[in-house]
Amino acid sequence: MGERGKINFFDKPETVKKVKVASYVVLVLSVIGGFTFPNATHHFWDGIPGFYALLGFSSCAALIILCKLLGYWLKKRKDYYE
Amino acid sequence: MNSWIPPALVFFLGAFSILPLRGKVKQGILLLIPALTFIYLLNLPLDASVSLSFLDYKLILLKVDKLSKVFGYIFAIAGFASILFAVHLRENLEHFAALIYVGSAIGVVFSGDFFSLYIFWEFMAVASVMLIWARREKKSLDAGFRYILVHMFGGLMLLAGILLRLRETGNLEIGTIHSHTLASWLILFGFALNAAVPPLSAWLADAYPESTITGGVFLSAFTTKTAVYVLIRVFPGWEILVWFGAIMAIYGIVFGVMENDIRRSLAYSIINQVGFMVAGVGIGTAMSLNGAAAHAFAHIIYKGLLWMTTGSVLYMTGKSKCTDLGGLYKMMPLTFICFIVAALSISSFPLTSGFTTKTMIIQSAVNNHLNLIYLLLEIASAGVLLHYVDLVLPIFLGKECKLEASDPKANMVIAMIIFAVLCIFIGCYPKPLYNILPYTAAYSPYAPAHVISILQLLLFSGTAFFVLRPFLKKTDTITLDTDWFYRKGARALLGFINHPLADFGNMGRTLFFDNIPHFLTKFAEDPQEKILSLILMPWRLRHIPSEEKEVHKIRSIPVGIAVSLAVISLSLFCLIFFFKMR
Repeated sequence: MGERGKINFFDKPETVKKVKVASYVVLVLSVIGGFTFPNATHHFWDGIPGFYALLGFSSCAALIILCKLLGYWLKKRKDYYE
Repeated sequence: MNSWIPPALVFFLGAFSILPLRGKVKQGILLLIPALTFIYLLNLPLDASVSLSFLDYKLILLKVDKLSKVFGYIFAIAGFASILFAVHLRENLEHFAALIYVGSAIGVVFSGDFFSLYIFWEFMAVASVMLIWARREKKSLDAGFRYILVHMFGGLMLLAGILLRLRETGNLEIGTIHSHTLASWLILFGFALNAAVPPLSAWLADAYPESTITGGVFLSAFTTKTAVYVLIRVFPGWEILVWFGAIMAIYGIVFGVMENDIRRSLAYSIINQVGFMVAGVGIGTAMSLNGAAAHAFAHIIYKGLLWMTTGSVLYMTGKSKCTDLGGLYKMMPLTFICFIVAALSISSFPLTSGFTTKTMIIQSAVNNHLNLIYLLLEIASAGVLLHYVDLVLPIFLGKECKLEASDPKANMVIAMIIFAVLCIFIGCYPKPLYNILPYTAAYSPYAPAHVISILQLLLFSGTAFFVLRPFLKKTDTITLDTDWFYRKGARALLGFINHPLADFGNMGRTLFFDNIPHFLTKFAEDPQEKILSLILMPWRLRHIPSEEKEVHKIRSIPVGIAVSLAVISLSLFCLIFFFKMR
């Protein structure tokens, strides 16, 4: 890796594009993997293919929205206690 | 037979022995202390004990079993790496405080009775506050005071619980508590405060970020994990802990994501991770308790690593706010890689330590049909990834900041590499860790279906982050927590004392020491006038026509009345005299 200011491997637009494509492939593979190795059915939802993908996405989205909403109430100027 | 010594003693003696030393010798001794303790613990047999008679009680300073050994090992390892990270410091105060702190934590772990535990517990509080004050800034002094006050309060609750328990049961030996008495609840309160269970958690995010750069590494490892240890030891299977644990796991994420200060964000992340352990303690099966112990072990390593990397960023740049940083990966490549390893571990990515330990707790929730808890813990797991992607982007990636930086000193880098290697080692080869766990429960994390479901959870959580990223813009703000109640509350209380209360006191003082004596003196000077002026007050008030006349009236009326009164009393005396003489 280089010094500050230099364009290096990770800054190149073509690398960024490759990383993006690779990420999509990994996402798809993880869902396909779910079909190949089904979960032991402890819960009714274990039978739903891609359930954990859905759970991951929706919990993260819900937490982000919760943070945003709580932020309106709880975020204060940094000199609030002074 | 007392043929062994309490391992805490190695640290205590070490702390005093470094005081006169300087240079390389001091550094060597500093590193030798945890290394010797580790070797000593390896050789400590399970039946070793040290006890001491004190008044009518037997204090058990050393009691060894598999549970205490797991925590002893990791405390010695964390002590070693943290001391290595801090070994370049010339000043002795931080080294001394850190050694006493680690020693006391080990003391708690090997205590066999509540009284010894309490003594080490309080030592820990005092030594740890030194690591905060050692930063010598006003903010640290203030935060340290709040920290020590909260911990003293928790300590007193614990002591009250211990004394009540002594009265109820007649002995102080540490063991599992089943009875739901006041004593038990007080002890649980004291432990829960140190485990940072909300709403008793605000001290952690308030004080830890204000500690010194190296002090934060120590603080992240010991106080909360000692609390997890005592919870496993004393309160396994208390259902309330399952719920509080799940709440902690979510709470830590939400507050951590809202925070702008990196070290404060990491402090919230401790609450999140301890939440998993507390839930594990609450579930109370062999596998979940093993999970809690194993997760504490792994957590101390990756969380220490996170505090080291962010400490290095603060050390090199002088900044610890996301909004001031960016693009550091080019300038601090090793720090960046270590941060990524720790972030993957805490997110429990397969092949890292978090995966082999946290999933044990989550699997216990499945095995015990705690479906809601299971879902909450999975949501929190997805949230951990969100939290760390949200941290790594503004610090190391993203827009390059205008700061000069490089990887820190060699000793700091080596300490980080040791912890990073351990994170991956435990992730790839968890068997040695599983072998030292206290209870018997078979567990294998790498079932293909399990790996796939975790990957789905984490990868899609990351996807949601990138989709909704505009909502998560870091702002240069602070986030209110339950410390608001005592920070603002204390001010309100002072205001109340100053104004209504002190004013009321002043009023009383003026009334009893000024007004009444003054009135009595005046009254004694001329009682008749005073009595009459009081009696005739309504009449006078009604008949005073204007301000001008007032002076004359007030003065003239009583004079006339006084004369007539004098005449009346004189006549009275004459009459009495007359009849008496007859």
